[in-house]
Amino acid sequence: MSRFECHALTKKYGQTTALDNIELSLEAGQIVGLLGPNGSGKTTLIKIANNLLTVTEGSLTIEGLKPGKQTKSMVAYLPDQECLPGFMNVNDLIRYYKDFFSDFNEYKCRKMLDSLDISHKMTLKKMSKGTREKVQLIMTMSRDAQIYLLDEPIAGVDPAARDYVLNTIINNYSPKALVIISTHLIADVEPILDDIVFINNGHIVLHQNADDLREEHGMSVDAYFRETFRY
Amino acid sequence: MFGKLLKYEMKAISRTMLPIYLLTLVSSVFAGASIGYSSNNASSFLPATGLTAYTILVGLTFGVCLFVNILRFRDDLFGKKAYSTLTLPVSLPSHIFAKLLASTIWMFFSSVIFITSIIILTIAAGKFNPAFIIENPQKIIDQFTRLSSKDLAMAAGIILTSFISSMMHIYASIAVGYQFHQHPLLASIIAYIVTGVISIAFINFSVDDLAMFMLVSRSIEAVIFFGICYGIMRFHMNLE
Repeated sequence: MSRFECHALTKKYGQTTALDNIELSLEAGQIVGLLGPNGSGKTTLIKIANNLLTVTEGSLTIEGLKPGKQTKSMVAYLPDQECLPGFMNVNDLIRYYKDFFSDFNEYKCRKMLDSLDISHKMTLKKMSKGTREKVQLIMTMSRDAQIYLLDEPIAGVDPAARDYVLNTIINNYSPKALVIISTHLIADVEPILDDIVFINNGHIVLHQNADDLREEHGMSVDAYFRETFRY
Repeated sequence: MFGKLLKYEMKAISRTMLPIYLLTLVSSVFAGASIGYSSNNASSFLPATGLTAYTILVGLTFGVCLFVNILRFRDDLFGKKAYSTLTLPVSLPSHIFAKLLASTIWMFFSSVIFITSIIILTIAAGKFNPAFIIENPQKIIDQFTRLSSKDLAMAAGIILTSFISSMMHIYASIAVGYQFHQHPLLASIIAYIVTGVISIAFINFSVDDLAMFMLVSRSIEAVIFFGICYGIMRFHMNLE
């Protein structure tokens, strides 16, 4: 039983097929890049794993379980948009996460917040957009989860902040966890990826170890991605 | 987990409702005092202004209470915040029931504030006669004891089930409306009207006891609307 498994997974929005007969199996202890152009089906796959979308056909399982109440306690999810309540300050948020997630690590969280000099008493709506995104990432990475699903974690941040985001991810995930990072900004995430999954038009077009891919094709993952998805 | 959901729901709504409650109570003092002042000075401007402000605030107490609860249901379960709310390790029925219970509790609080504000207004106007209550307790008790405990329970049951059914009707309409990616609000309003007409047409059985009919029909409606809401969220959830 894999930690994350899709079998004949299909998702349709009316007549549009977002995911078409996906077969995918991912094991724990690695950082996987879910890479593809905009509209390829990355976010759809991640939303299904979080039970925010229903499946049309096939199945997606986490530790053998369909997405639901049980899997939500194992998955730390960073959506591609801001979703935390603006009226809460950081202390409120920490209490909120502690209340709902038994794997939330307050010490780790406060340490990360302090390293960025983020006031624990400032409400989210008073923070800048960039700071709010960092707080959301810190809250997600402060969980000792079994799976981290990070949807476009660096898309909205400036290049200088991208290093911070990536360092936060690699320094804070549990080595026994599975980390799935969805992005189209390959060059930035490439150095931290163990495995690569290319997705396009709802199909998995490649699933390979990152080092093997570089060795086999004699180019970086970013270069190979550009070649594969050239219009 | 249900208790925790309810705690955060109550806390979030309190930010809006508590200031309105305070304003309503303060305005009842001013309205009452202005009535008392005018009866001594034959001025009608002050009591008219005071009473208008008080009436608006009482209306706001109930209107805002309903609006905020509906808005929170929509935003937390179908809006951007759903990315956070719906990824908590909590069952779907818990989410729905927490919202429902919170709205019921806040509506009860609003009613208590309304009654309290009337008492304050009467006292401030100098029209309140404590001696009446002290000297005539039997008269007051008699007013209530004319109704049997069964009647009182039935009345409370009808009020409660009617409120719950009405809220579930709104929740179900939002769940239906948000299946449409374009104009979900308009679709929710249409769904509200259509489901309302259907429920009137189908839940229409003949009984001699009107109170019992109200209680049973509203309970059936509440269960059906819950089923629609839960069914859509469980089997057709498509968060944009």
